Amino acid sequence: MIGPIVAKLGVLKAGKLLPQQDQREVALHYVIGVLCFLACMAAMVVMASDRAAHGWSRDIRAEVTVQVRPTGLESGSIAAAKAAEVLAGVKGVGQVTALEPEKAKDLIKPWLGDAVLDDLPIPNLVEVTLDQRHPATTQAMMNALTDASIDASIDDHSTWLKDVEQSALTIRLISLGIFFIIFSATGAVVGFATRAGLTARADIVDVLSLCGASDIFIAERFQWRFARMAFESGLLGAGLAGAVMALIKATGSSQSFAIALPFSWSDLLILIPCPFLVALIGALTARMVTLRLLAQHD
Amino acid sequence: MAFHGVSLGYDLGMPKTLAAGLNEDDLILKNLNFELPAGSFHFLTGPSGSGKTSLLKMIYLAQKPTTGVIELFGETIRPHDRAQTAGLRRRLGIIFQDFRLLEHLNVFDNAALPLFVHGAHFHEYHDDVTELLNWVGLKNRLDAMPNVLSGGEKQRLAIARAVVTRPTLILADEPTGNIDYAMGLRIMRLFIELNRLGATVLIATHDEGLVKASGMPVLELRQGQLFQRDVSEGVR
Repeated sequence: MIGPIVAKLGVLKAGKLLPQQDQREVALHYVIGVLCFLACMAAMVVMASDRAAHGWSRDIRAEVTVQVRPTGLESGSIAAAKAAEVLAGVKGVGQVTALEPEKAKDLIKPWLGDAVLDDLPIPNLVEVTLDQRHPATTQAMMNALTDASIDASIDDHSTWLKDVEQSALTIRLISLGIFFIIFSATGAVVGFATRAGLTARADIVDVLSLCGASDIFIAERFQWRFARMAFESGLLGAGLAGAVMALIKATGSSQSFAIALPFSWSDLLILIPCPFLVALIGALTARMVTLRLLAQHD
Repeated sequence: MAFHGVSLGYDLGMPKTLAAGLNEDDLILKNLNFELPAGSFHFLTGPSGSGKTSLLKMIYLAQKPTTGVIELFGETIRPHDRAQTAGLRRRLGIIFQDFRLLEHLNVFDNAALPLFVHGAHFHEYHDDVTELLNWVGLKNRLDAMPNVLSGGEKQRLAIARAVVTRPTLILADEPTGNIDYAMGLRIMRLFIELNRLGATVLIATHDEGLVKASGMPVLELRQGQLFQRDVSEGVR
């Protein structure tokens, strides 16, 4: 006799005191899912932009360009070759290449065109690739060139580096800002839904309160309800963001996109905590809003 | 439970929290001073609109008095202390005129609700709740939802929920209003039994027959004042 009864008495036994979800909560699921998707995308953009910025900085730092000015009757090519030989002997210098005049012309061509190049003095350039672990300093290279009586100037691309790092920092900050704005929006949405939920279930809250339920007990019902809902929505949003990223990666996105935002499979790891974070935000917001509303109810 | 100089006034349906500006005519309960000794049994009677429900509401802390002090279980009620309110309500069993059952919970869960709220586990309360529901004649309706219950069944369920925790003070607002006379007497026997076990009972009712049949003392509300009478003696 007791068996079938117990089977039907699952609601309180399972601790589910609030009614099953209604239509409002379906819409809320959707909104939180979309917000979590956007937050996840922003998080992955932060990671990819960080990676891009590091890559660009590393590339720029790894190379310097030396412009050699020939002295006396020395030809430009000979002066460049001499400078290359001196620089190759500096500790922390990797590969050194004196650029042929033709190659230097090729570098200038896109800006000046063919017509005037023959009339212009073409700079004598030496490309220096630095040892990545222990790179030579600009000062050490300059000292070596001065000691060898070579008139040269070194461009370590520091102006570019500053710009690149500044741009990367800006992108990171904007993405992080978007990430936090989206999560705060999630909190606001849950707060709004909690208010609506409390109003819609005022009868339940009243009965619980009259049965001696403390405010914390009531807040916990809403807290767990919204935590679960936010987690499910977060899972959906994070899954969708992961799918979009995988699609971009798998379809071999265009070269320029891959350079600007070089996604990595490891970026998917950032998606794992997102549903938990959304659930935490949902739980805390629901708890705080419920407690505040119950206190105001007094 | 004791009232010390308790008055209650309403203005456009909203309770006044300050005595300032209140006329005597605004008060529906006027300067009530009375005590319900622990373990006593009283009926609360009076014409419609005399303030019976409001008086009960003040005792179960759903209504703040306009003036005066209420003591419950030896504690002075602090109107804005929600933790105290929750603690005191745990010792109350309340039967509402409108039942206040939760529509999404079945009969068993509605009856077990206070125990669940008090932190009891299913296996701890299952047998007691089943037995109580059997006693009030809802044995075969354990898994029914409130919307399919008759008025009388709802009333019996509301009574079962109110007494399931064996409360120290039972407050009932027209507990026999929707049930037949025989069931009414049976419910009264339950209250008397709980009273014998130590519970204080206060029942607001219109049912003079029930009052006379029980022979218990009566508190009568008239024009905002409370009068005590014994059934045999009439109004004092």
